[in-house]
Amino acid sequence: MLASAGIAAGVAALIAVVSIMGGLQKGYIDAILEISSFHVRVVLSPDTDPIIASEKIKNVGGIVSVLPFQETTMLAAGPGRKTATMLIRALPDDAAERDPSMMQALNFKTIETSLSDTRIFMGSEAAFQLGIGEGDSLELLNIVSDDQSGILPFSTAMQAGPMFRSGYYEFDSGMAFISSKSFLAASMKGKPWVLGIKLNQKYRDFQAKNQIAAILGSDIVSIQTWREYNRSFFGALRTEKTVMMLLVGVIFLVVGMNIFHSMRRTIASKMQDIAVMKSFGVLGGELNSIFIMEGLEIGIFGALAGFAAGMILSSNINEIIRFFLNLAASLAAVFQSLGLKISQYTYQRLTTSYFYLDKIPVSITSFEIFFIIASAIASSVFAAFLASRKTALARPSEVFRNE
Amino acid sequence: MNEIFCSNVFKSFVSKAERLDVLRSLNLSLPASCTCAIMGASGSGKTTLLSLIGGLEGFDSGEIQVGAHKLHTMDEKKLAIYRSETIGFVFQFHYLLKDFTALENVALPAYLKGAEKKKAWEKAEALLEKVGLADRKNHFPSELSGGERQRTAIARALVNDPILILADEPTGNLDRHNAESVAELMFRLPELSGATVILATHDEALARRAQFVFRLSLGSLEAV
Repeated sequence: MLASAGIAAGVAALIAVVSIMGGLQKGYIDAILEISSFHVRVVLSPDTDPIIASEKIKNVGGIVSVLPFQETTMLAAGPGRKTATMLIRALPDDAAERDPSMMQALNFKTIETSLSDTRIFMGSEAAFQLGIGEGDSLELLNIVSDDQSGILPFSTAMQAGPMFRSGYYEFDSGMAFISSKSFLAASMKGKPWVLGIKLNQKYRDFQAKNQIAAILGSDIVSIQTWREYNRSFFGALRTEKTVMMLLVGVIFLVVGMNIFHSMRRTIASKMQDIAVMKSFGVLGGELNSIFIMEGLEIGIFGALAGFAAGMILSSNINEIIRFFLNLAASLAAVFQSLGLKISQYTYQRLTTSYFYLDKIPVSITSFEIFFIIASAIASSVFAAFLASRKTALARPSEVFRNE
Repeated sequence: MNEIFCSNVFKSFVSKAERLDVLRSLNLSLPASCTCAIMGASGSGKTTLLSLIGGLEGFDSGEIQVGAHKLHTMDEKKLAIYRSETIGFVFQFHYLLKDFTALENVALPAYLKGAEKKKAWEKAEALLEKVGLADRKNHFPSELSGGERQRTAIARALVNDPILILADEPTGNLDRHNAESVAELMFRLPELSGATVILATHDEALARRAQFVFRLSLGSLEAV
């Protein structure tokens, strides 16, 4: 019972941890695909008209949207001499129509009517860092170069438009959008045009890549799928998740050792019975299987209980955290009313003001669940197998002699 | 043809410190459905001899044959089948499973051998009746007297219709009254089941009730 409870605790903890980690990662990956890398990213040659290139490929099977843009990193300066570097992306005026899902990911609905020559749309965190609000003016500095003049600074003032908030700090603090017809966009003259392409099925990226490459041919400088473009980052995410699973999976090692030792004690105390059974003609392997079945039973029972607990925990994680935060805040209030100060800190709810997230995202795949459950059962069965090896080796005559 | 046949059996135990030759060129030959007593001092090798004949332990050299079973040619699996089908053990201590009732203890070897549960239980009940424990069948070992436990163990040894019962000091742990009732039962077994009984004892009076009596000394048997 205790062994099953240990397995259940391990499975529940792993499911909860992996689902939260998966939720955070999935949200971030989705945001990257919607805002940054797209499903296929095509860098066009300098002579290629991006609008014509977009038209050529927009009817390829599986393509949902094609958004041409230019982008470069610039320095922005706010009124209080506060500065920040930002990736400025120049979009065609019909960007919202071309790629509505990017606007959705940015939680940004006004850009379609607001893109203008003088306005810049930046993330709320960037605006906060620069100390500006909607309607304020800011300076933008770009470095341009040409064959005649060499490298020159290019500076212009723009007015801040409404801010977007994607929910991901990296974008909200380091991205801004301007119209490709703006004066600032002219400073991107030497930058290549990029086509950001989205598909109805993201795993058909390589197929789409080949089709697009065949159509655009020499108009392309480079073409990358989202998996190629983000290879190192997604690899790091995968490593992070694997290491986390291994660390939390140590629970199974501890529980397995617990099962091993308790079963060894049981077997040692039953050695006389085991010897008697062997004298009846029961084989060592058959006796082993009794203990292995017991290990399997412990594993299955624990894994199923842990699965149920883990799923309940994961699907109600926000309510559970809110409950504990409220409980902590209530207890703190009670202590304070009694004149006891238990902490110099105050307890805050999970809000974007403090934690950036207003709720914890959760996502878990059936493969991960299967892997966790299989690991739990395997650890229990393996521990039982190791513990029961002694039964196969026990010789009845020796056991009786030692009695 | 003899039912039990041992020829030139050698058995030694080797430890780091020494080599102990327990049986040296031991020979034994017994007919079917007889009773045989092996006498000898403690440590003379009586239990070892029963373990070898019962297939619980291997031997260094020689031949042992029980019925058609040639033990020196059998592997672990065949020996297990041999024990299950041919041998019934009665130990000095009853070795009943304490979590099982008398009936369950008797039925278990038959059930493990593959008998249907109902048949195994019916047979166990009949055997308990034969050994005079019909009214104690649902009692656990802790609720039985020493003699009753040993009689239950004898019933358990008979449940698979063995051709050979090996009893190691079956009365050694009992008071006089219980020892007598168990001994009487032991010597009636050839008549009750047709099995051969070999019992190891150092009780001379008990041994003399057997048809064949041997003394084990210096690793060999000599007829008494």
